Amino acid sequence: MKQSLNILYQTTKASFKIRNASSYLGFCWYLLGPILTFIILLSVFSHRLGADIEHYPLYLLSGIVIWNFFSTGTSRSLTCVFGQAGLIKSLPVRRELLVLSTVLDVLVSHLFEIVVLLAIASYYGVLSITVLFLPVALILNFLFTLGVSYALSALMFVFRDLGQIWSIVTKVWWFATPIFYALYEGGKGEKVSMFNPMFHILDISRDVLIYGTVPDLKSLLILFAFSSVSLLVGILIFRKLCPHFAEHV
Amino acid sequence: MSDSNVITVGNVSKIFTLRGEETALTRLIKWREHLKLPRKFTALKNISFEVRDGEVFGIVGRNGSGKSTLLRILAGIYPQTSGNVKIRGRVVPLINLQVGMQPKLTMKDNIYLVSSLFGISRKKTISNFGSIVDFAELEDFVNVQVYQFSSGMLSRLAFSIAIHLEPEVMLLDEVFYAGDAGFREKSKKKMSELVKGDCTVVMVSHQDDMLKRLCNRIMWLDEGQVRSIGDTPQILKEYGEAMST
Repeated sequence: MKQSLNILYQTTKASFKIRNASSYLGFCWYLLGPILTFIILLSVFSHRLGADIEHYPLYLLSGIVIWNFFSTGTSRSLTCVFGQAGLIKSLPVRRELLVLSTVLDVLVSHLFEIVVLLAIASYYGVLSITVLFLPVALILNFLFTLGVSYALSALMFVFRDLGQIWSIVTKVWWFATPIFYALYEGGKGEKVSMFNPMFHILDISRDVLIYGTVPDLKSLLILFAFSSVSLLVGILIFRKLCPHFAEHV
Repeated sequence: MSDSNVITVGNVSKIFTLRGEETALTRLIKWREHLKLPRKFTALKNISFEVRDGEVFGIVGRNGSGKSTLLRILAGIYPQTSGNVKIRGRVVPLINLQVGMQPKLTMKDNIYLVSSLFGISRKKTISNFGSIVDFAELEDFVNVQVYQFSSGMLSRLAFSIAIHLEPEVMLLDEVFYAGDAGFREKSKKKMSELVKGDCTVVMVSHQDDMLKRLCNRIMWLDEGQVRSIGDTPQILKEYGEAMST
């Protein structure tokens, strides 16, 4: 157990350092993507789709940042085991740790972004006590992402073109999730979105961060169910395929 | 008597399933073809042997006779298709010395990273750190990213980390030395010391002198089956004769 924790700590630190090119400024680079998306969407939509939305810049930025955790985490996990042929062919390191450390690494940078988000929210003067619920959304987002990551990193060994497939899936999913637009109350989109875990994550996060309301219990329960199922199915798929990883790279 | 056996391998077989490059696309298009049974390849067939506490056990055989596959099964990297493997103690597989190294990280970071992958605690690595750097003779490069190392420096570093892993059971696949002539001698000596020490060793090698010097017993693998197991000189002689004809 202690050994696994040490591996987790070292591999997470290593991938974080590599991603940041071993400098604190490296952090700016991967903030750049979300910020550019933010600026573009803001300049295009703030007077159209965003006109009816209260605190649209904050609404948009929180959407982008929270979505990015999911999309970066899952897309990096695709190759986090598959891409390490040398390692898994020579050492019986617990494969789960490779996935976990990848998602943890993304979580660490996501936490930085959350801090930025909180700072902007307090600048807008919208922060209230309900922000204490934000970690709940964060944890459920983490668990959901982790589950999907487990499944993807294992299925990569079965379908070599999973990377291409997943990039299309996330693109469609991005448009289907209210990141830069809002759903009409009682509209068709709202019903469909009940089945979209990312909708619930965003909805809850925005409620507690921007609008100072307590999260909707129904939303929380649905999200909790999604996260548990994702984690459970993800781990099951991973465990099933894991013993033969070394033979197929 | 079975208490003195550190490694017990009973009737182990390994069958690989050979697959093509499989994508979701090809599966979709050629789903019928997948109804055919995939090709199988038997890499190991009914292997049985024991290694006693502190013994050095050599494995010889042609390329493709299943030596590395067997080591990987012992290390727990491949699951065996049938049979059972029992090992007592902490296993350190040295199959590829430069495993886990990250070119973009400094030598210091790499030492911690690789040691952790081999299951060495952080505390232990801190106390070994000086000794690792010393042995590799790389004191001036501790904070240099290792992609800037020459291949000799890299292999010296890898070797130096490897000899500090304190194994109880060591699995060696042709890794005995690294670097230039001077370092080769030094590392060869160090490795011999380690192998002859307390730990139990299973080693795969193509170098007769190495095997002769170090091994108590040798197993000869031929096309995935045990051809013979016995004392070093005898098996090496048989093997040598078979190879030269």
